[in-house]
Amino acid sequence: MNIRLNPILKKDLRVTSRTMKFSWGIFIFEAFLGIIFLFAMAIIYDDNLGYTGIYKEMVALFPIIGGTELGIVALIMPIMTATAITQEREKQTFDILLTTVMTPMAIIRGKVLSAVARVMMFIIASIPLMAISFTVGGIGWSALFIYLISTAVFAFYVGSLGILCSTLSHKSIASIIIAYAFYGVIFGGTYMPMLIVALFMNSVTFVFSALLLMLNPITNFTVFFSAVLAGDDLNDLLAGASNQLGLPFTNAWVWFAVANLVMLGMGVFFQKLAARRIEPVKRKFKK
Amino acid sequence: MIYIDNLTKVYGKYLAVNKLNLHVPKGDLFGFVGPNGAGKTTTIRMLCGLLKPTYGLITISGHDIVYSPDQYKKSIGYVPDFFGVYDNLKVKEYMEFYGSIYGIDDRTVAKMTGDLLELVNLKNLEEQYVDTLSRGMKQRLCVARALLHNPELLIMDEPSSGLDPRARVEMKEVLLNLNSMGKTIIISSHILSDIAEMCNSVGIMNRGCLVTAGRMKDILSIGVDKHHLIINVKSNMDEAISHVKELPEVSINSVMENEIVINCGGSDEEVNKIIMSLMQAGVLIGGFRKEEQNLETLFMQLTSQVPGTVQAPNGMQPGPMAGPMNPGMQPGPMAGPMNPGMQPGPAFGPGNASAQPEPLPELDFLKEKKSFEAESSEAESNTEGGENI
Repeated sequence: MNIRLNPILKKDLRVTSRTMKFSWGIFIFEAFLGIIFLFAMAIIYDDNLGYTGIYKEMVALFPIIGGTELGIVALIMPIMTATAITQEREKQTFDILLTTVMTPMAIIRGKVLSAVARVMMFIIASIPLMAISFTVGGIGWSALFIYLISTAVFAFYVGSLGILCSTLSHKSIASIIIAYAFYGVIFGGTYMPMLIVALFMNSVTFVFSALLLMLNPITNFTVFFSAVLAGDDLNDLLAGASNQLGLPFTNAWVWFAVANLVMLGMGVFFQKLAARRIEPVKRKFKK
Repeated sequence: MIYIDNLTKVYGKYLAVNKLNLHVPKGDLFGFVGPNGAGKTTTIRMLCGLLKPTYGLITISGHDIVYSPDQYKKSIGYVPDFFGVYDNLKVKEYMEFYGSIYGIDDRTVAKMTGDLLELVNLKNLEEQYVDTLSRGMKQRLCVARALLHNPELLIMDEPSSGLDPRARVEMKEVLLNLNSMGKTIIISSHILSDIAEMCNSVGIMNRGCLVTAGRMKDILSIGVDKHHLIINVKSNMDEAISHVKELPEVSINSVMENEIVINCGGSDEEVNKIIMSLMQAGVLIGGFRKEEQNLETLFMQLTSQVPGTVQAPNGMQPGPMAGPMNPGMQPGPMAGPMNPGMQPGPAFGPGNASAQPEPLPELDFLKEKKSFEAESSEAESNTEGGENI
């Protein structure tokens, strides 16, 4: 079976893998994670004298390494995607792309997927480090699998937002600044309604502001890591909160699954907006 | 092949292209010329689907960019004035990339790449990185890329800009070769000598208007009823000037130190008469020559004329419904480009060299847009039925 890859994805992967920049990127990424890992191990050893205690605490490596990785992804995605279209414009290759049969949506999708693929190469390269917390910490492999999937969804979500920002300006620097501003809204701004309603407690608006947090990857991954570490304890906590505040989800995994779908949907929405922005002549269908 | 009907582009209050009508038949090598800011690039970009017209219609082989963008884009190959490249990509990979966009498999692309690179004189460069090629080579590679999906029409915006003389000659050879193979080509260029040598039809734009368009030989016949006769006067210049002023149907164009330029009909008989009468008047003539009409002189003449004074090529019937003013070309479905029967555009007249592009008093014609679109869709349905093409 001949699977037809998006031409931009194929070309970008080929070009990227050839550059020294990419090799250095992986090296720096792994080295940084390694330092964080060793630092976390040192703290665990200091706190626990007995071997049993050390093994138990090894579980904490998972959110530490995972969280660090997600933080790095959040930082590099705007640079990768917010410059994707502006660089094509600056190199004057964009006009040629637009005159081909490739639809604006396919161009945007290709750009996002190539960024996601590159990020996932970084993430996958770090699995051996992660594995230590699994083998000695007692975390199931399914958690790692879910983590990888949801990291890809997260990269897709922030990458799509980045590409939308790339279509809002003709200059790469401006696009990156706009992207970080939007990220600020998503990572920090989505907490604001929650803080406001906390002052004027109202259960209906509380539900709305809580659901708004599904757009916030920090919340979603906090739920995920908590669910992995705390297990049923977290679900009991969520069930209690749901009964009291009227939240629709009583299970952390359900929350996380729905949040991933929301992020996926928002990613597609951002891509559609970006495609509309770059389409010079809007297509119409004959009645 | 290409029908451009009432094409207009307005940027804010600036009218960049004003009601342009044009028909380019299949197999033509059409040259678009005009001074800077004439609207050539805007027209080319609208033709490629990179800019949305404010109103007007473009169809290529019956396909319209709005309703059938896929077929429209398959019909064109675009070569921009500046060719940007991707870093770290080899020539064959560059071709593979564009081939995959058009759904051509790698094996077919590899075969086509060899043929196309040979066509544009870049044979054996498949393994070279694109960013290491010279500008002329990149430009020819861009032509090869544009031909990969075998488009009916090649659109080139200033293909020779920034090229050295050798690269320009090579590019010209490539284009003539392609045209001889039946490709329809539209080129916008400032280099009039190249256009005159290569193209079999030409359109001259000025201040957003198509001043004239048609077969090259017909276009060059515009204004041939007035030729320049340049006479080298060895002595008695004052006598020569006063004598010429007395001659019927002759006027003085300009006088230099030893030369006098006369506007006359240009027939050999008339020239003989003028020379003989000057000699009889005691003027010592060192020599004389007739200045031939070429694209450059015509371009200078047309791009500095007052609207409505441009002549149609011989045999053309000016009129509001005439096509590009040329007997060899098919009339367009609507009004032709500027001719004596045409009304100037609403904002500023075509070819009025002294007039600055004024702000539109009120974009009244935009109000016509809705009714025009209704007409266009009606015309389009007729076009599909093969009535107009």
